[in-house]
Amino acid sequence: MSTRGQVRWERVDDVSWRIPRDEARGMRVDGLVFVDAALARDVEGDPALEQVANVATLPGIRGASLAMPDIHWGYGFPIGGVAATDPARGGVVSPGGVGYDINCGVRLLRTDIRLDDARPHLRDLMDALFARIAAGVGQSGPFHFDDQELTDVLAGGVQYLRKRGLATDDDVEQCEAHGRIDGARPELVGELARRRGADQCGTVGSGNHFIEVQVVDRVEDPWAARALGLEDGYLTVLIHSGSRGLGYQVCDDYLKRFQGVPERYGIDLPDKQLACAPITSREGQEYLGAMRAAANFGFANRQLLTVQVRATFEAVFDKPWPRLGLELVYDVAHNIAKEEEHEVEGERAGLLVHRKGATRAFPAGHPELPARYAEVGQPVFVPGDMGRASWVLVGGPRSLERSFGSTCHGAGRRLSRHAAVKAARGRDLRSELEERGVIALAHSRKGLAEEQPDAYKDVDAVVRVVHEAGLSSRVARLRPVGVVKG
Amino acid sequence: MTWRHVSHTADVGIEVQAATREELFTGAAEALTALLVEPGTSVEGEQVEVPVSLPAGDDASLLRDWLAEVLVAFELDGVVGRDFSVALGPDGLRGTIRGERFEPGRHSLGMEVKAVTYHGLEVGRTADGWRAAVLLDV
Repeated sequence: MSTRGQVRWERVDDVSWRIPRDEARGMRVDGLVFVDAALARDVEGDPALEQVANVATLPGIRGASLAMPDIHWGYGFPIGGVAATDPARGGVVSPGGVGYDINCGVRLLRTDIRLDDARPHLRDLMDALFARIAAGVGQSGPFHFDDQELTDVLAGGVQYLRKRGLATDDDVEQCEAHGRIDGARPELVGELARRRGADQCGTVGSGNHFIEVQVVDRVEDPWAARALGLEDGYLTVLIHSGSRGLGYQVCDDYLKRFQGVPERYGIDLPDKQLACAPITSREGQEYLGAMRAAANFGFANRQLLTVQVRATFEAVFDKPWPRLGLELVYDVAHNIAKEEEHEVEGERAGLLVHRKGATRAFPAGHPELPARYAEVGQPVFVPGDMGRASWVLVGGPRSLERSFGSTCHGAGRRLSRHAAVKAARGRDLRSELEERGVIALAHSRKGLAEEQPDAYKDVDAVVRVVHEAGLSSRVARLRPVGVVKG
Repeated sequence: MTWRHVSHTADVGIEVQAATREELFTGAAEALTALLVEPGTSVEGEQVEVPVSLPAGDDASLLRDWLAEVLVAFELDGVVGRDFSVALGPDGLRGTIRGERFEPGRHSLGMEVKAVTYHGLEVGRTADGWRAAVLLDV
């Protein structure tokens, strides 16, 4: 890590702070952090701010090195970071700007089930979800793919699963990139990565990954909520997972392969963790090909989790899932690098937008949106902690101009995992959560302690900033009633 | 040899001190395993042994790669290491992971470790032996 002293930053307005371009640090652009005064106090002095400044040194970076209000310290890039690089100006791709969990993301399912009607079945529902859905560690999922099928998943994502009868047309339509990123190169996903992934498609994982049954608790924008199929008092299901061991191994393999690569291209970095290669270089293209394949695996993983959630609801409520209205609202990635066209400094440019712990949030009218969201904007889901709330947002009017069409991805941790476990000592978290109306089931007792509500910042505060900054707009607040964790 | 887990906001680190480089490596493997499976929940299950062979490299990269092998043996084959041995020579590392097979319901799962990172990776000599620091993405 660089020891060039604490970064200097200044308030721009109520919801953003600027780290002015500092040539002594090699910054090519400003840093811009979306926080209000209270969150700014939390972040001040955190190494994450230095990481924002470090990302600003990357060749070909355009606009600014951005960070969302759930910013915290990561490897090289901060979590909550957004960086757009321009291949026409020597722009680079950095595996650290995507992270280990390639295409970690969230999807939301809506239902026609009222919480009041579901209450007598909730315990059974959560037990059944817990029994059915594999954590993926020491336990394989129900789906096993042979070599050819795994290649098809890597190349085709949810679109391949549709051919296999495991996804509907709507499931494909309501997914970022239609559940399949073009240009995936499965042959560049190594043998170990494939082995780590072969039995894990359709498993949730542990850590902060989960499947949560929630109720729409407060509608802030009734028109948008209606367009998304959400109504006060009805159940929803939020699925948070990524590309499992396959994606972790792809990142691992390419970080190893990228050692010495920046030097080869004459790129001077303030932190080795920013290891990168020009987008147009062979190394850059190979990483992107493998990353897209892992991303397709991530979309497919969340789809196969959806298949299991639907089957569980069918068994518990004794109706086929379409009659329960268990439809996909949207699926969106928050660890990814995407090729997108943006307007920057008065010109259109094809950029590579790294989002590491940040969510795409395209506004109404954007050509990449599914027809049904063309007028309302792209749905965004921001999971909070399991005791309080999560948010549904839609892409805001200023997201393209201010953040390359991006917004936050979560509440951000407040306590370290150790501190959280310590704080949970002598307490019965399951009972505490039940008193708050949440049935929590976890394969790992420690995992539950690490992910307890107190470990996280208040998601409402994070969402208030992105709403007021115009990056995304509040639609509805979801309150958890049951959560299954790895 | 002693090891401890070090807390970061979202991640976990391992610090090891040992008299020899070999002990440093086995200690780090013990520390990693204590995160993957809750200590004290080991059982006498099916015994397994996994040989590990890594080409020569600098100490820090070797340690990282060795821990990555321990992680993958657990994730792919459910090997809960109980006894590790490491020999370091000019050809690289030869090691063995001995332990039992993970059994859900008997072992208690710890945390999912995504990767052994290069961040803050350190292996060095101290006045009375060796010291290592490794950060895990969890």
